[in-house]
Amino acid sequence: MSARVGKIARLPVAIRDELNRRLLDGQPASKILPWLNGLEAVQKILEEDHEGLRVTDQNLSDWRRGGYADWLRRRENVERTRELSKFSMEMAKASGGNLTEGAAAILSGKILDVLETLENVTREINEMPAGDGLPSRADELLKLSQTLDSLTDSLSSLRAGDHSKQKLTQNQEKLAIMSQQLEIELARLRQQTAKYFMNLRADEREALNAIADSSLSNEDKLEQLGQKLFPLHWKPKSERGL
Amino acid sequence: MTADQKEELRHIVLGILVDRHPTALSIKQVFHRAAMEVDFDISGEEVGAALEFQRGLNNVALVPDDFGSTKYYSATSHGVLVHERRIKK
Repeated sequence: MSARVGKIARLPVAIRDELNRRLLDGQPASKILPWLNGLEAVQKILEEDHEGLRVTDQNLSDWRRGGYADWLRRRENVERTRELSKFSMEMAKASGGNLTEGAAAILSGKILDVLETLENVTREINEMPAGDGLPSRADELLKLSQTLDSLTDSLSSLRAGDHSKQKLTQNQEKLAIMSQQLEIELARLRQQTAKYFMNLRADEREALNAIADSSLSNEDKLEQLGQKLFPLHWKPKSERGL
Repeated sequence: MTADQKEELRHIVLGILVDRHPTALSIKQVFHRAAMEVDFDISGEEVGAALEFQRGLNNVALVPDDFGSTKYYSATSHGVLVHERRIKK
């Protein structure tokens, strides 16, 4: 798109915006021109760039057809874009996955880009005379739909990633619970063992001490002590899987 | 770029992000739209500088991409208010 180079186009954006609003309100040139030419900022620019010549009726007329028309079109696009933006944000989040706000905002920006471009291309195709360059626009449409496909795939991958993450978190939580349960069981076992020793008769303690002090190997001592302490529940090493 | 043009570009980049709030756009996406709104030549670096300037004023936030190093920006609520109040003046 070529840049506008007229007198009005060179004015600061705040003044151009105000001018456009006055045109939108239907103010006549007889009111607009004195206001515009009276602004200090405008006078300065006109002196520097246009040898002090004022903004004329013709300049305003040209602006209406050019810059003002562009501004009007953009205004309409803004409203539509806001709707598209909300829609694409909802699309990014609607998967039910756990997308972060940042990821949803970025993805929705990309989807918005494609949707806006699709809209522009479709509008341009509708305005084209029949058969005039349609094949190349069809290529463009195909590329855009492929991009939208790829974005949809990215959304699905993010969903899958979110689900894997959720599964991992759940497994980690299960593991933490199991570790806690194991700790509780161990504590109970230690307590019961201590209680068991407390309740042993003197002759039973003597028998255990004799095994512990014997010249047997540690492995054999362990086996004998285990059988003595837990006669009903002790399993031989071969059955214990150790 | 002149000081006036820099100022204009700063307002324009904020306006672009506010129009699309809360989506986040990359510098390239903002540049593409800004180039249609200004009457002078701009570069991606200048658009990036304008975005960082607005970020310094808390009108714009940097949105990190979990999967890459591309910078994305979105308008903050503060930025939306600043832009709307400016338009209403």
